[in-house]
Amino acid sequence: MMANLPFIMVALFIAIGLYAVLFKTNLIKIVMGISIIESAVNLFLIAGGYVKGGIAPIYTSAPEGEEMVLPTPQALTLTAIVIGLATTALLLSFVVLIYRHYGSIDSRKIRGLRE
Amino acid sequence: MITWEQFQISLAPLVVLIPLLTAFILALMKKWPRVAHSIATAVSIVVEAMVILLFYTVREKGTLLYVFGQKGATDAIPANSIVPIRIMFEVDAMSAFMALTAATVTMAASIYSLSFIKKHTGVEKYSSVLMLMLAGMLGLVLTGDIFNLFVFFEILSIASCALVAFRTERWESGEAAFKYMVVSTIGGLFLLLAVGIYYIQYGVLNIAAIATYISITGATRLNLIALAILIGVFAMKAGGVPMHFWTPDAYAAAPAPITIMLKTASLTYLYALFRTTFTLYSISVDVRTVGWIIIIIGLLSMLIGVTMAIPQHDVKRLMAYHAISQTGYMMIGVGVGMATLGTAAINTYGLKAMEGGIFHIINNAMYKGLLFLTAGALFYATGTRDLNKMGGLARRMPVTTICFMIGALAIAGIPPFNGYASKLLIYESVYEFNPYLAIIAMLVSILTLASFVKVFHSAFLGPDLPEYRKVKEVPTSMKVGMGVLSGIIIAFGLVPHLVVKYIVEPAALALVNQGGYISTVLGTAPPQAHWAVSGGVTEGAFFGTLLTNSGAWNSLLWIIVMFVLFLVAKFIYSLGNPTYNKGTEQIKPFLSGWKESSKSASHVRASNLYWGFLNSLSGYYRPLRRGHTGIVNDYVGWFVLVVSLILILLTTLGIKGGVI
Repeated sequence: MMANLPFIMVALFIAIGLYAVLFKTNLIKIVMGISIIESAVNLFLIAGGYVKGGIAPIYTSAPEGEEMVLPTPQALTLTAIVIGLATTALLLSFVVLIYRHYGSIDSRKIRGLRE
Repeated sequence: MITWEQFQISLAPLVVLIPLLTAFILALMKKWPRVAHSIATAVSIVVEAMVILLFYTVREKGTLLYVFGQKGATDAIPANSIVPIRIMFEVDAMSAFMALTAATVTMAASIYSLSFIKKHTGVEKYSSVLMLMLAGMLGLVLTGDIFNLFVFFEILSIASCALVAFRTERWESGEAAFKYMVVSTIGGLFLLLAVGIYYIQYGVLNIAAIATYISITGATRLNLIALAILIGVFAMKAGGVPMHFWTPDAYAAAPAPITIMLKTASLTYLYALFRTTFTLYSISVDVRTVGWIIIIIGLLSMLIGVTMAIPQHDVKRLMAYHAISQTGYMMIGVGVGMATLGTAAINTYGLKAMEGGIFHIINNAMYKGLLFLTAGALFYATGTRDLNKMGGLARRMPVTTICFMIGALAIAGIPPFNGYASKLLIYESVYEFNPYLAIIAMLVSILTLASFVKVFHSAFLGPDLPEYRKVKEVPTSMKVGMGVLSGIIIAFGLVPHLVVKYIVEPAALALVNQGGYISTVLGTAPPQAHWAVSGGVTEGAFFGTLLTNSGAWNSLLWIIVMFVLFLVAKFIYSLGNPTYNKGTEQIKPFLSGWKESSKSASHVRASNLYWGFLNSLSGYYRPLRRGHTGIVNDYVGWFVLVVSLILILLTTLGIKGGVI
């Protein structure tokens, strides 16, 4: 059970994030929901790379015979965090653009493009 | 000193590296925006040349491998390891085919942009992000590593969204970019989740290595979850119905050259969908289920795309719905290939259907690109995208009119243009799989023609409207951009047998050859993998003949026959009695005694053209229009719904053998 806890948390975070994206009409809250999903996916990668009792994967200072956690998911997560920063910044700047033209950030009103 | 062989191997990373580096340099050239865009254009031409060379190299030497950080760059598995660890580019014929498509369209787009964006500020940033898009597309199709695929997916998404919002002064750009960005980011995050699922199970990120494990263990429940996510994400990014809502928004708001880049980007996501289903899974899952999922998405895209296009009066939204509809053809063609994988049918009509679908990819990139460029030319000349306000522009813009006609005839599948050849391949082979699919495909083609007749009529024909008296033909660089694509369309239409033989068939064969893809990296491949099939004969005995599944097509012969028929008709016409007198009552139309109204009052505007058709189908259109809500929450909602449906289908029907 304890070993599965991180994965249960991942599912929970994805559910919270999707709830925000699907049901919140404030565009900023939609961006927040996306950020929560992103954190969940990062947690998923890190949790997947965990080795029980493992130490940090720094090869030069590692004691003999100790297990290490997997280094690759950590590298993947770093990349994903950087990408997440770029997407969040871009999304928020689009929200600014929308606010300038509509004077609102309610997703039910931002529907000039439809049909 | 670098030898020629080393250069050939390095081509794959170079075509990504050069635009990537250029992008960062151009962003700094704020003082010289025109120079920056000229550099971007030059780079896109260089990249096109290198991609053509890459294509030839792949044709000569077979699948190319470039392993990053490895001396010699060809050894996939390091000495102290048993699995491939390093990031690598794996270029088979399918990847090379997609790279060729992407580079060609980018070249046309950047030449066209030379004068199209002259009036704007921030041209250097535009050129910079354009180069980033090129790098993203090429990286996405060339990579052999699934995490790398995610990175290029995100590069392409971010660059696309930034350019959708390029015209920040217009109200729709921010909205369209935000909607596109939300669905792209959600898609990207789910893609990363799928990558995590593979890594946690197998500890590798290499596509070939993951494919090996999947074919040995069979598709586990986790793998089916990953497959459902990947099909959903890539189908959404390719604009598959019902996840297409972002497409018309983004395509209409972006400047025309960016629209054709977005269209090509969506084709590279389609490539990713095919790469996932054919190379990662292939026959490890129940191919009929996966094939039918792709076919159903394609069928919905064709039908709903084209029917939503007919009532549009914004020229670019109309074309965007056609882009969705045309993507459906590719999905049906290749989906039939997937559904027949591993059976005897793949050798007969399955591979032909795939060839049709893949041929349609490059054809579509060319004529859809041309049509969007002509829409951009209309916008450039008139300042509007509303077809209801246009009319009589053929007088002022003859080159644009001719280019539009070429594109419209090609997309509607009129012989002898290229769209006819690929559609014929799809019709004939899909008919053998399921006749109803082929019939619907033909119906969609007719509706496509109808809606382009509407564009042609309302924008180019009709009386000389007073507000467009001063409209001039577009500048040279825009003509060149359109001319390049028109030339390719005509050439592909004249010699489809050569295109299929040298470009399309190798790509289709590479896509089904899962064993070959794996063994290029690992040296061997498991016996469970799907191996190559024998390519059928595509070239008939007579020059210019393309053998479609049950028939044949020869456009040169068709042109000769049509010319002869024209002469016959001319002869019969000359036999008639020449009693027609100019300047008398005879030239006037008979209107039951009513006076003839003035020419400018008789122009039928776009929205009035098919009112009878639309009115009689209002029961169909009303719920459909109400479904296109334009609310961003719904866009994501449809994606979640479709992924869940695919997951349910796969877990109930998709399991085949293996360890569950």
